[in-house]
Amino acid sequence: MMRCHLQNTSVPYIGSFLAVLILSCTVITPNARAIPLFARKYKTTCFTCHVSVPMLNEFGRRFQANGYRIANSEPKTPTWDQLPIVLAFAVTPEVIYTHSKDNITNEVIDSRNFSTYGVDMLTAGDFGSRLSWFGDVTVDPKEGAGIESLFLIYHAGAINFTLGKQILRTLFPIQFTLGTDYLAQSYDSFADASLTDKGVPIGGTNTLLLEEASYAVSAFGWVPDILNGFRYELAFTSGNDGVDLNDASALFLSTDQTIYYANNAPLKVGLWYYTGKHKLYDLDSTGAWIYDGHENTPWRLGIGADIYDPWVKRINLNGQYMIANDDNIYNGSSFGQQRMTGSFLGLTAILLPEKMYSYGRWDHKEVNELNLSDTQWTMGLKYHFVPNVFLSGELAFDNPKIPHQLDNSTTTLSIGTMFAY
Amino acid sequence: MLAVAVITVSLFSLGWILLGSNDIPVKADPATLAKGKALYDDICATCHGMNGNGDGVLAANLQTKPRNFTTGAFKFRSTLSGQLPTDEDLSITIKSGTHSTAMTTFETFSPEQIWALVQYIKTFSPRFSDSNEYPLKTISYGNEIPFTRESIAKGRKVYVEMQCNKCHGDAGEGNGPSADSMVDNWDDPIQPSDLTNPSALKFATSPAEIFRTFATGLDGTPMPSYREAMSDSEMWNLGNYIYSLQTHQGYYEPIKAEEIK
Repeated sequence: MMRCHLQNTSVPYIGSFLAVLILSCTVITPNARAIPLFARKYKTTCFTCHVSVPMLNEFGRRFQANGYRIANSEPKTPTWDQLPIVLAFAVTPEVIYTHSKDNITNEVIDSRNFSTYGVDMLTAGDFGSRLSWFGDVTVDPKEGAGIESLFLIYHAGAINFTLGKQILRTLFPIQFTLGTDYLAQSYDSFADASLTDKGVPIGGTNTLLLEEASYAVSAFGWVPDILNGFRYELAFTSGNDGVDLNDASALFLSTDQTIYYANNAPLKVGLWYYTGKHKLYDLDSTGAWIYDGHENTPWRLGIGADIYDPWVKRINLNGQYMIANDDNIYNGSSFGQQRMTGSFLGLTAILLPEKMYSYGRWDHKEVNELNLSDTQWTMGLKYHFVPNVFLSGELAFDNPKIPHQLDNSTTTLSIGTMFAY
Repeated sequence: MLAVAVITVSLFSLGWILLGSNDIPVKADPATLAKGKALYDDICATCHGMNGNGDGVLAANLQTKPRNFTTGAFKFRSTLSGQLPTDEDLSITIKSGTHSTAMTTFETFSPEQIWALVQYIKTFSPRFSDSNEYPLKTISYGNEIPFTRESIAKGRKVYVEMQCNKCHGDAGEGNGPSADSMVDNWDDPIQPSDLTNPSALKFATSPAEIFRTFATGLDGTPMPSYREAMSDSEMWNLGNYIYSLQTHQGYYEPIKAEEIK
């Protein structure tokens, strides 16, 4: 989801945040549900599909890989009174305190922001046994409304087809992160290259960031008969900003294999890969984007694993190694290759079932052509008052380095809450 | 032609009676078991475990633990305490789920799929193939007592006499003095239900369903059967009282335990 970080807003927004938090804790009854759409539909709690929102558990991943349906089930077309006239929604405000230090000039900047995902209005349902839809519209008081995702799913058993704006399904579609991004998975070569004003793709930042929705047509599914479950997805996408297919397109492949390796504890290994083509654009003197005659052929490869401990099954370890290659972008002096290698290693611990969780993550990326390295440590704690209301705190330390240009360590404390109904 | 049809219908009816019988163990055919296993391994094993022992990967994160099928002890039944559930009982639980827990509803499954799942789940416990466990005896409901103020008041008295408040609390909110120390048959902590919260109660959408819980008990939990301790009329009155608590429409004299003594 896109985030809106509003600068220099402290006391009034902190007051609003506390008001929302108190309201959330007092108004919501214990019988309220977590993820409002599917929890209502299947008369269950959020913990059926989530370790803690948003991290999916094994059941949730299978549910998602089946096109947001329980495998082998055949929903009937709802009657008018069963349609989700009242949309579900989720609000996730957070307060972010940032302490940033330039290690070259010793300049220190402290800031305090109020951030919100806005209000997510969610809808999903069936048009019979074969066709369903899913939609997420964000309404933000500052930025207005926008479609986060909206797509149709055609269900044909072990294969499903989607069309629309959607988050492509990787081994780690979403994990616990609150205020920080995954350095490697969020890597956008153009963001680095656009320090210059050349070699920028159409739309300025159009690329394929896997944690954001992209415009895609996709075939995906779940094959339970291969060991303990095999998931796959093959998609054709024009990237996150949905530009003309003549300007940007990519072919995306993602697979993973699950086995219960001991005592019902799952081990999952997977990979994803995509490759495509971008036309590169520059700003002309009038401020318009013009095609500069260059094209970039990027590819990305990620290899990951996810495992639960076999004893108490309360510890989850996950990690990914990734390579991102661009063959023709402007690196400050000429057009050429740029390659990022990066990885992350994360740990989630269930401290109290359905109540308290802790998590930690180490992220690292390197870009040789830019002489850039970036390391980030993240740790967090979440507490659920009830399934659909939690309070979360996260501490992140990030230290990107470009010798003689950038050495700017940042410590970020985020305190957030989520309320969904 | 008519004779063939009559014979066919008769054989089908006989087969259905035998398959649905509570008098002898049901032995499902291999194809049904294979179908049930495929569904179970893909969907149910994430909570209940591949071997049905309730130790799936999700179990560690759930307050209400998934059922261990290997013991043959099931909460929601129409049979006497300690007995196995009927196939129909298991079907109802699968189809409707148990709300406010992670056991979701599987009402989008076909009857054939649910039947196959029931038959496969039964293979986890040898009790289901033991003829000594049969016939299964289902409870009787006696004469229903209407949901009236008088019945609710009598039910409140029964509630105190039977010491329901020790677990469920004086006001039925699940906070009695024993509430925090209770464990189930597998030593997992278990909380008495908040009787005032309809979302927390399972299979209690009518006084009759609540009556059933008193009569059968919830096997595997500290909730015993009161069939020997209460008369049918007492269970109906108590059922009406509990129903009044969860629907917030009841009226009762707030009798304290001390007054009963």
